Amino acid sequence: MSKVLEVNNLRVDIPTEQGTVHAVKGISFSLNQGETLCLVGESGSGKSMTALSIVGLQTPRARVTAERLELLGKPLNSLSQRQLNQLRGKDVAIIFQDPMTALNPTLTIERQMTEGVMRHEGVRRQDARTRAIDLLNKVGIPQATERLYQYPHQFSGGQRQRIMIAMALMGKPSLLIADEPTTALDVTIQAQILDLIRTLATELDFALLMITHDFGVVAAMADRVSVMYGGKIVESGPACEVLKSPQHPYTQGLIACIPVPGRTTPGSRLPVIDHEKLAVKELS
Amino acid sequence: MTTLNTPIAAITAISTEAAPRRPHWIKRCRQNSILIGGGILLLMTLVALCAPLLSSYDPTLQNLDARYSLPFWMEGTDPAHLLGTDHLGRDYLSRLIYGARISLGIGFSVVLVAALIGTSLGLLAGYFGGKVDMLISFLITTRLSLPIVLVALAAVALRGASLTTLVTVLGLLVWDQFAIVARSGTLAIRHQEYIRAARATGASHLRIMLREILPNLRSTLIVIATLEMANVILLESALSFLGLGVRPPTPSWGLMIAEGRDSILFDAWLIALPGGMLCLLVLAVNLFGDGLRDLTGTEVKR
Repeated sequence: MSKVLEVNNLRVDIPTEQGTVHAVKGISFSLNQGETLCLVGESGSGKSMTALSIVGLQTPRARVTAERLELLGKPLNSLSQRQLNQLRGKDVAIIFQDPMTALNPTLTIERQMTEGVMRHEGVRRQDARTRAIDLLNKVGIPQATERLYQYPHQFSGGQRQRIMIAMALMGKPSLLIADEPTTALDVTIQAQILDLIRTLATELDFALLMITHDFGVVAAMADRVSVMYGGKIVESGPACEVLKSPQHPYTQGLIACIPVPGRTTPGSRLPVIDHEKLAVKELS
Repeated sequence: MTTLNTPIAAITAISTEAAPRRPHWIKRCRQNSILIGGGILLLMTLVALCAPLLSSYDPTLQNLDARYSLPFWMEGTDPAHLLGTDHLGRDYLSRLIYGARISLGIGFSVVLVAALIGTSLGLLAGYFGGKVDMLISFLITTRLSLPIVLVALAAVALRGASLTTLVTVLGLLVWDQFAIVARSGTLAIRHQEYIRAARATGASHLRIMLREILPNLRSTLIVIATLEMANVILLESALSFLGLGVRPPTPSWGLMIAEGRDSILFDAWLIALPGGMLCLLVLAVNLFGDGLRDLTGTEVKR
């Protein structure tokens, strides 16, 4: 198994007027081909920052430093803007959280899907179209040939997320980053989309970096899981082990927060994570 | 409580009935302004394009024997000249028809130049923000503080009056609306997720501005362009009237009004005809622009 992504001691600092915010405080992980890693954590734990800084899409003000940040052996943090552009959408692709805003409302699906691959690989429009129709079929959009020429508003939320996935896979990426791909969808669609991503990951054998706050998603998708808290990875390991016997109190807290049908009494309060206690532990 | 007792079937029946399968814009076209404005505009454009076919005289051909021939509704008219002749005996109808060419041509090309300048500046300012925005906003405010007619007068006086000078000077002066609208539009879209998604597929800044943001601004910019065109047509006439626009003997409506000025008391039709045409054209363009604005639902501050 070849190594797709190698991240070593990644830091993201955002200078603000009130002082520097250390969004990500030196985290390390790696991803092999065909493997799925879930980054789990609450809002503000730095998981999205991590994902975005890998491809250089962090806010312009943020400073990203890393001892190693390599995609397929190429050091991402020393590439020029142009080289980075050639990489994005080809070797690495991203699925964003909200499919309602991640598609340009004034362009047809066809334009949005084919543009990147035509630029990256110099394929003809006709070939790019064929590939787009193929992928739309694969992600479960019926009548792909006709629907290719429709605009985003003519699709439902779930369909749009399917289109986003198809679009991300146009360049046959080695690494797919999914930044909370199901958060904006309702529960039944969530399951379908996760299923779809998992099937595609097995079929196309790309490495998947999944950002989520939902242990349900972790259980369904992950080979390995890293739990982030306050910009650090506090626990990581094979998904089943972490889920079964979480070591870090934060992970224990997170898992305890999940309501379980049958075990959680309706109307009762769910456990709350005591951040003060955790913060003290982190500092010591 | 009749509303409570209304059977659901009745409600659904009404709602299905009230859903004619007709695109939104056709319904809006019923509003007459776009039809009237567009109709007149189309007619004038056709007349301007087919000018050599429609006019039986060369508009610059002088015939001093037939000066001040009267138009058809007056007594003692010459049937050879439907709308009479001017002080040099040139056929007035031909001059009016060729004048439409000048007005529309200048209006169109100036708006093209201005849209190009303004939109690029606005896109750059909105997209990059920061220092670029500061600089371009400064340019916009500088431009807004310059009185157009005065600057145009000075520039034309320096460079000498010619069609190209006129187009360039006006183009360099009326881009502000485009810049303002493009800038604010871009600012609103810049942080949308699909822009970031486009970055994630490896699109460069230039490509994002032209292929992702520009289509979003299209309808607003078209509305601005029509309204700005009316403005430019009036400006051209004003400058020509002042003798700093189109050079005689080229027929321009502004110039024709200036030439008819001496005989305003005796042959008022010499002024009324080009004046009326100018009025009609500007009205048509404005109506069309307003209709277009309502149609696309864009809000344009004037």
